[in-house]
Amino acid sequence: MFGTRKKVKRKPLSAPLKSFFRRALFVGMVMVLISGGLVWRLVYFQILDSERYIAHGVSQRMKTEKVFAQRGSILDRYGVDLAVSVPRRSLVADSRLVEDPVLTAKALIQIIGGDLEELEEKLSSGKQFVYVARQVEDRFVDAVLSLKLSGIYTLKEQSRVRPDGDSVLAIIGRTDIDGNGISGLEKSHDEYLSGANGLKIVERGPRGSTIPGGEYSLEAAENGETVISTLDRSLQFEAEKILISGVDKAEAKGGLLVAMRPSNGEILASVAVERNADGVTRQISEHRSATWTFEPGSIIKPLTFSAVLDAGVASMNSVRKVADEIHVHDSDFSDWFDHDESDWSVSEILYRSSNVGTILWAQEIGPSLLHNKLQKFGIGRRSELDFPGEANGILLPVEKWSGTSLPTIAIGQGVSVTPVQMLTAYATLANRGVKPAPTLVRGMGDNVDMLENPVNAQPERVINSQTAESLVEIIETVVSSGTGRNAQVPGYRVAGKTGTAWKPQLGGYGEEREDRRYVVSFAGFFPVEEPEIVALVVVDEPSASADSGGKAAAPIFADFAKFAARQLRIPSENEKIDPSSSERVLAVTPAQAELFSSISSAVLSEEIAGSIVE
Amino acid sequence: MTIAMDLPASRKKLAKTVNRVEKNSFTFSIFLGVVISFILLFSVAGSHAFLITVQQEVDSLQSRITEEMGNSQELRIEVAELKNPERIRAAAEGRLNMLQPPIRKQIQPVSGLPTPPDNPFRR
Repeated sequence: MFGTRKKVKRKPLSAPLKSFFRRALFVGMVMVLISGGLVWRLVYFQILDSERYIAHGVSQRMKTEKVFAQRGSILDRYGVDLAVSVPRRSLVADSRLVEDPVLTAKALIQIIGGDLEELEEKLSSGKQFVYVARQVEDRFVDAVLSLKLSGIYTLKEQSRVRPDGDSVLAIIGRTDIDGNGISGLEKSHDEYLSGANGLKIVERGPRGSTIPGGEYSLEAAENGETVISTLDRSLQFEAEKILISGVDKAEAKGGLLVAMRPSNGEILASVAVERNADGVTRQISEHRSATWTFEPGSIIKPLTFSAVLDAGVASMNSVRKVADEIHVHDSDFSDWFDHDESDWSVSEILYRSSNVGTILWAQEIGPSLLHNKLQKFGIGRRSELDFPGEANGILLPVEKWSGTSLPTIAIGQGVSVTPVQMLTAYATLANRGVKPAPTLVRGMGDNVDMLENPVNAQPERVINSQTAESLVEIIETVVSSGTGRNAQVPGYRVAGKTGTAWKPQLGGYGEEREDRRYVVSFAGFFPVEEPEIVALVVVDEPSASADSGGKAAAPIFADFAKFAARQLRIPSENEKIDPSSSERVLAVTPAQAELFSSISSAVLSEEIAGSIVE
Repeated sequence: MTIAMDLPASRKKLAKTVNRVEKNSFTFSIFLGVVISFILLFSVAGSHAFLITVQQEVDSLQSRITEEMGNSQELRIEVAELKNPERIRAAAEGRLNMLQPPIRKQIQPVSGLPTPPDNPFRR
């Protein structure tokens, strides 16, 4: 039923067809082999050695970038920038990619300057990263980039700029090229200013753009805090000008002026100048108010008498005979002026700045009481300023005092102080016995608000208020009619004391008068009734014609005080509404006076409006 | 007999129609699937392109923020330099030919002056 399959006899293939099939078979096999090879590579990449290639891909895509924290600014007390960080570009090189180090170095040197050999060496070092020039101005960077030199790149960094130049450099200090504080406030407040760098992990495409949806993590940078200093830039500037002029007039070697608000110890201005070999007086970059020490001379006498009065061995009216010379231990001490033996009260001794009288009263209290009192004033130890490199001064322990220590220290020789220590002592007198903690920082915060106050030491009572009041009365007369007359400020009650100290030299103070060198000073404050400013002026090695604190330092104090009174709007005696009030009336024009009179129905004439006094 | 003969014919026709419809709907489904897939793929590609564009904008905004922050710092410096008393004095004495007064005079109001109302300088 079912037919058997017939065997079909296939015709033998023709030769060309056979050849085609053979070739097709060969090509097919080759294709299979290639495909097999590709599949194998695929398996190798994707399965067998996937980890390595995944890691390689990740390393190409994933970028870990440092997010730089911006260093905080330093402001003056009114918010004016004293030190600010700005972004700058640095030129860097991958020396492996630099084609011709010699030519590249030559091209770079023409733009950025510097040492050709050193740069050539850097560019041929074979290192992946070398700095060509750091924190370069934009115009130079753009010029270098326009050359399209292979292996030369830019790197963003922060550069510290002080808009006022070097006028506050001594206090603000410096940072190194990496932005770390190395001196001044930059160093002492580095932990607040520096902030913390952040980290960004991001997937980037070949052109550097972020791959959307890729891995992204950001640890934000914490910018540094702003440090608000106590300095008043205008006072600082004027202090510099006044001091330079004063030092030039006195033909002195140098000088310094430091001013403080006695109520809270805030330092408003601090300048030190020096005359160079060419006779040009310039501000120096050392904060000498804290780092330099000097023998204070007579400006220490109010402190000595505070110990005498507080010990109760004398009152301001206690009288004793004072000759113009005294022999103590193995030395003779004399007054700076000749006089007969006289009966002088404590007030007169201080007013006349008698060395002999001061020594006589110091002997009454003895070394321990004097030492303790001076220590309480802060003499001989670092102040609360805590400024980098601040000096201690020298006040030897009582056990090491020799027979002449008491008389010399009582008159301000044989003891060395920093200007800040002496200023703080006078601020204590101005505060009627309460010693403030000197400070250069009002607080930390952002650019708008002060958020954090530094922990300052608490004010401390050092002398009895009655003692302080009595001493202030006396040193006010020193300015009104004594050695400090040149420190007078019209319209204001000023109290202060002049000092003229011998400067120590190799082997002593100089045998003869012409061999001696002096450090003259004036320390004072105003207005006496409610002191707003206490200032210390020190003039180093003035000429013979200006070799006393009254001649060289007091006029500088007066000029500064006049400016400070205007700048800080301190009301003069006549500008006060009434003596018991700190409110003030500024001088008014006749037209304003007329307006006020119409308001208050008071009769005011031009005469009432104001009279001009010099 | 006629009916008997007709029935299979109509069934065949019906079956053919059903087959055709089934075939068409299958084709339509495939077509629809392909279209939807294309639309989906295009929208994925489109949204990806959109994402990339937005990401680029974000990147450029971030770099602008950084740049402007730098500019702001530069401007702060410029402001501080312009406020520098030394510059102001130099401009006053040099460009404006102003002179320091040879002597400073202080106005001294006599006592009895009433307090000025709303005086901005009152402390």
